[in-house]
Amino acid sequence: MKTVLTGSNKKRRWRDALYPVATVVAVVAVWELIVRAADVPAYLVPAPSAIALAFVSDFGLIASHARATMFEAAVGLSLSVAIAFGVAMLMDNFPAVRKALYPLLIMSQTAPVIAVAPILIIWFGFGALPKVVIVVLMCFFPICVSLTDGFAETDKDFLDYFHLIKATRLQVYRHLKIPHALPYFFAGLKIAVTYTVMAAVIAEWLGGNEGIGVYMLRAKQSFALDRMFAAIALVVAVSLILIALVDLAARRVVYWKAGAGEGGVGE
Amino acid sequence: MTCFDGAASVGGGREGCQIVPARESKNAAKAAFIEARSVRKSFDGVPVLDGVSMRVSGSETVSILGPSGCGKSTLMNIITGLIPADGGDICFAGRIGYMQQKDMLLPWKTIMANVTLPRIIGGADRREAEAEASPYFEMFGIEGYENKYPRELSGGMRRRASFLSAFLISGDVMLLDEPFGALDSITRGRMQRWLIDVKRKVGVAIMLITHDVEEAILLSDRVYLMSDKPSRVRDEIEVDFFADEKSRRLLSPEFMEYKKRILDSL
Repeated sequence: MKTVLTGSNKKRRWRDALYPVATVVAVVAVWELIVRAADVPAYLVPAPSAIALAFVSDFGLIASHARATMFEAAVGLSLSVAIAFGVAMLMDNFPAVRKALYPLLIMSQTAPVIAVAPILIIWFGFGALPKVVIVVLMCFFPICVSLTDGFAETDKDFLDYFHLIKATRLQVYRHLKIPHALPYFFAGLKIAVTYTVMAAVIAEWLGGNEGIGVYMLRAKQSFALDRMFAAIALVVAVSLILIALVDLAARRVVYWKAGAGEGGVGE
Repeated sequence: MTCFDGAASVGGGREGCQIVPARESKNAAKAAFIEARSVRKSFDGVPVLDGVSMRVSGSETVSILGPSGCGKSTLMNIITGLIPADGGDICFAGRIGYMQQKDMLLPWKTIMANVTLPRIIGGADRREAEAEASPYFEMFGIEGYENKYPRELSGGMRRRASFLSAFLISGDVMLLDEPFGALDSITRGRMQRWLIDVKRKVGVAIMLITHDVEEAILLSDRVYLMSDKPSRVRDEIEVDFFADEKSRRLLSPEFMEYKKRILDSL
């Protein structure tokens, strides 16, 4: 594996991360000050310190709910990736399938998940299955569309070249189309993972026995806004970690794009 | 293993295509050739090739020289079988290695993986294909670049790798489609001398497409002059000075004579 980051690049990345972190710290500080100074009641706006306290004191319960949510998110995201690859390859190979499916895919995205989720719960019960289906409904689309674009935008000269050296369809995918589509795939995956945890939480909120969504619903019903915010913070944190992991994986897997534009060596 | 099995006879009813079976070893007896006979092609009713005939064989270098858009690349695509001709015959024996204007190097594969790709696609064992390819890295002046990625190479080095890739498909006949067109003039000059050198070592037949008069004179044993669209062969010129030391051609008086003759003819 080649090194993908030079020292100065890494430093710049850290320095760039400082800006949002500083902003968040500043906002939290101002928030804390205002809540304390104006004596805002905790059932309206809890102070950040109260939220942190709630997170720590309720950690065991939050963690057990989080485990259920993470399970649904992980299964849903994996299924999304697998289905997206299958559908994208089908659409890439058969123009008729593409013409038939593509508009349907877009239509499926316009259906409000909030309304679809209760129907799924009626069909599949209160367990993990309807949550997984919701996650797939939301995450499959960006991955599939970007993969389809990636396949479609394969350089025609390279396709001719593969035709010339008599590559089979499978070999064209293995050596040309899939590597070419990988940067597209990761772009789609990055969008998908920002939805993943949220989609699972929404599904739980609309009916379930366990999960962060259920925890949030219960916290809301007892006006425990500090726990509410603690759960929101957890969802945000987990989503950010997922995005960072996708970025890391992308840099690892799409190693040939790293440092592009740096001068070549040799003559 | 042939890249193209026998003649792509397209005229219908014509005969006389002599097909020599492809050989497995490189640098064997030079029976390989490509011959185009009265090849015609039009796109949407607009004639592009109007009966083009030419031949390359043995270990000669033949240039097809013509202005941009005269259908040179169309001829290449017909010879390699990418598009069908409307009429005429393409006959060839042996395998054809085809080097395009663009580097056909996959950015996610190392140079070694790129040049052995056609053999791997053909079902060869990776280790065998690499063992077969590796002596040529030194011969072609790209030793040490086996495990580099294309983006780490300069334009000239990438051209060498592309040439090696085409050469590994066939050490018999190679089609080079404006191979150095995208390079700066200094690198192009270097690459032309490099080609003369490599060609002497491996003795392959080369059909070179170019719009550069000096490149054609420098590298060729024969030059076909193409007319504008619809193109046909306007003239065929034997270039027979310094045939064994082509790199000396550039500064010789004959060079200017040939150049004048070609420019007058174009």
